[in-house]
Amino acid sequence: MLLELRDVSFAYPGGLRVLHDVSFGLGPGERVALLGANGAGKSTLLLHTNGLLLPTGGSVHVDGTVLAEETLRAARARVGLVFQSADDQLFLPTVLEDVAFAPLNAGQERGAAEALARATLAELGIETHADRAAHHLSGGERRLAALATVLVSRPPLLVLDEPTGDLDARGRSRVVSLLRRRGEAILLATHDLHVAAALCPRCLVLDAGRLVYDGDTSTLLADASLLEELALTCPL
Amino acid sequence: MGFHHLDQYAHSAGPLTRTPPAARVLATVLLAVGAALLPLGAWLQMVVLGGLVLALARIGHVPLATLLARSAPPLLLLALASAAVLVLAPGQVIARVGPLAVTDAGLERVGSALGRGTPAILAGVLLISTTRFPDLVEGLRELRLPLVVTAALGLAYRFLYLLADELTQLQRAAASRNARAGAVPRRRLLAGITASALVRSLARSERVHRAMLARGFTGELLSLHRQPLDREAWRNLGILGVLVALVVLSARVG
Amino acid sequence: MLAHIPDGFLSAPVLLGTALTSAGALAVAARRSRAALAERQVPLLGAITAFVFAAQMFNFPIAAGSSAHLLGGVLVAALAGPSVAMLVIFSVVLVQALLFQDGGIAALGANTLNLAVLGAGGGWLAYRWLLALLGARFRVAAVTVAAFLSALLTGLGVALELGFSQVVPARTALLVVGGAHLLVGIGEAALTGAILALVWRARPELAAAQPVPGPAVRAWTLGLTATSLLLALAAGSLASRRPDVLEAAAFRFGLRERALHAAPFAGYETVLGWPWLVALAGVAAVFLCGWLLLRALARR
Repeated sequence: MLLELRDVSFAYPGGLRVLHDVSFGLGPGERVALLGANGAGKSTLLLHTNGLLLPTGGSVHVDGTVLAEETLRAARARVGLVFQSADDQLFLPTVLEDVAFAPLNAGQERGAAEALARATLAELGIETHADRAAHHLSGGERRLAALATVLVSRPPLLVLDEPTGDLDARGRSRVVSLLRRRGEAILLATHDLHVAAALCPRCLVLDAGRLVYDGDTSTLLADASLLEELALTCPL
Repeated sequence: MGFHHLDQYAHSAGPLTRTPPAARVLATVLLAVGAALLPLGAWLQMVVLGGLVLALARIGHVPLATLLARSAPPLLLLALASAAVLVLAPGQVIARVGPLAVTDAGLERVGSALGRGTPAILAGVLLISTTRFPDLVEGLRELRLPLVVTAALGLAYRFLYLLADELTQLQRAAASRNARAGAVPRRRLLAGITASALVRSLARSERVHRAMLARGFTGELLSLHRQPLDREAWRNLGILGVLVALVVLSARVG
Repeated sequence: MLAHIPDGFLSAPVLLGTALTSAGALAVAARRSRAALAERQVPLLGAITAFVFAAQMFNFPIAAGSSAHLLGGVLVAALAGPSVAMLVIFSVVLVQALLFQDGGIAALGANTLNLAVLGAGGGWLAYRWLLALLGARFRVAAVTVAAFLSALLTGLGVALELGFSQVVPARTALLVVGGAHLLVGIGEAALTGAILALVWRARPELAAAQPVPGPAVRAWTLGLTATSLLLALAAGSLASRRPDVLEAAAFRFGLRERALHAAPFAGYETVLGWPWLVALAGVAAVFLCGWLLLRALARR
């Protein structure tokens, strides 16, 4: 198992409990969607996948190793986390520097880090923006750049928080087809059922911090009453 | 409101742009300090130093008109700041403007402030005309400023643009609620906007911190491009240093 | 005159002296902050620097026709501590000088001294003192008054540097620049208080991160402050009745002679009255020594 959560519970220091006994596993190359209403605990769960939050109950395993303070560094190289806001991820003056951040911090030489960063940008088709500042990019390009900052480390598992949230139809399609072409395992939190269906054969549904569905995405999407019951669709 | 003037000036080409940014910063400091060390009334040397900056601008292919146009606002500010000295410095009264008496000492001090300040301002404008903000930070890093300072400045660049967007949104939100009127409500509104901007900045810094950790941040911001001072840069700085020192000495000794 | 001194005004000795003082203070701040800062503070520093930079671009109306921008020293110090505040304000002053010609490049040392060391560092001392006196319930009041004092300190720095550079006599500089900074201080106080009240309400843990000094330190501070005030009153009334006593004391310490020889101070007597000035300086010195002693004791 690439990633495994065993009875993970989490409560914030104030006592607010956000996750209750969540268990699931995810194998190499598997693509899984994480669905749920706002406040269901999706983002909190994602932060557990590479140890930005450590569970208050249960355990998280990456490649079979349990996450703890001393194993974080290795785990973070295996799990690439892409956050909801691209702006939070692009904090350096140029896109190239942002993409080279992870290899540099992993101890790579400057030249090697730059070559790696440029190659990653070229894979995503945004190599011409390498020396530009993120605020001069369009929303879609910025999203791709944020993706590049994580892909550059070649993590076998990508964890994505709403990767198409602020994109128009064309941008959304660009990101989805890009992710479909790649071989990484994916855990993707989204509100967009179309994106989930297009990308992930399997899906998980969180409701008030509990895992209430773990199965085929197509089965779930075909069941209108179940979708409504889980608050994933609502009549307008 | 925007911060696009942070690097809109920087040219992409020219011999000065190819020198390491640290050398450009050092040269600017050299010229400014040289000018500041001139004694009162060293008019000739002030002109020579100003000319030296203009010559450098010519070497760097920065058009004279551009340089002067960009120097005008800070020069005007300098003139305004020094105007009060005309009447505040005690000395022989040489002219009267209404109730105010302009003194000879005041005139000499204001003239010297302008004469010493102008080469410094020209040098500063030449620096920003050839150097983008990220390169400037890289130069400061190369000059061994405290890591905390260069790290803060390096991150502040992107934060400033994001902050500018947020401030614009907050201002629009306030304006759409028709917030106008007198000084007190306006001040309260501005304090509110500033406080929200600060709270948002702090929250953003926490999210950015998470993003850094997720990508294996080790605690030190490493830079991709190092542009250390090479032999040629040291030689050019040496020449400039000798020239400036000669000018200052000629004024101090003479 | 502005809080950011442009190039052209200050004399060589003042430039050198202020640069050395500032460099020393910043070196201490950098070392202390590196020891105290976990890496989590790096983005925080960037965010606060950007914020101060942006906030200084806003002009706030103070009174009819006049406006000022935030200096921010006490604001940052109250959020992130004095070392970080000094470094942040220095970063801002540095970029303003290099990029916007707002404040001189050669005068960087002087501006750093006024805004970062005196404004942020001195302002923080004032904040801690007031916090010890008033207690946590009056945190906003403490920070407001400290912001006012911090602006005054900055103005005092500017005035003395101009005086020592013999641009204008020290007396004139103190009256003009000090007077202007009274106004700046009112704006700074109102803004710092208002902003921090809102920020602390939104993020109470930020206030809790800087706890009020313990009861023993508070008692000592109260005693020290009261003694200083009494001393000032006694010395002042003594001085106004028998000016010769203090003057004699001043002569004995060699203060007066040096002051007479230093041209920029030649006009001091008429600003405040010489004996009052000695009394005030003495009380301030006693207070400062006591305060530093207390801090040293409290740390052990």
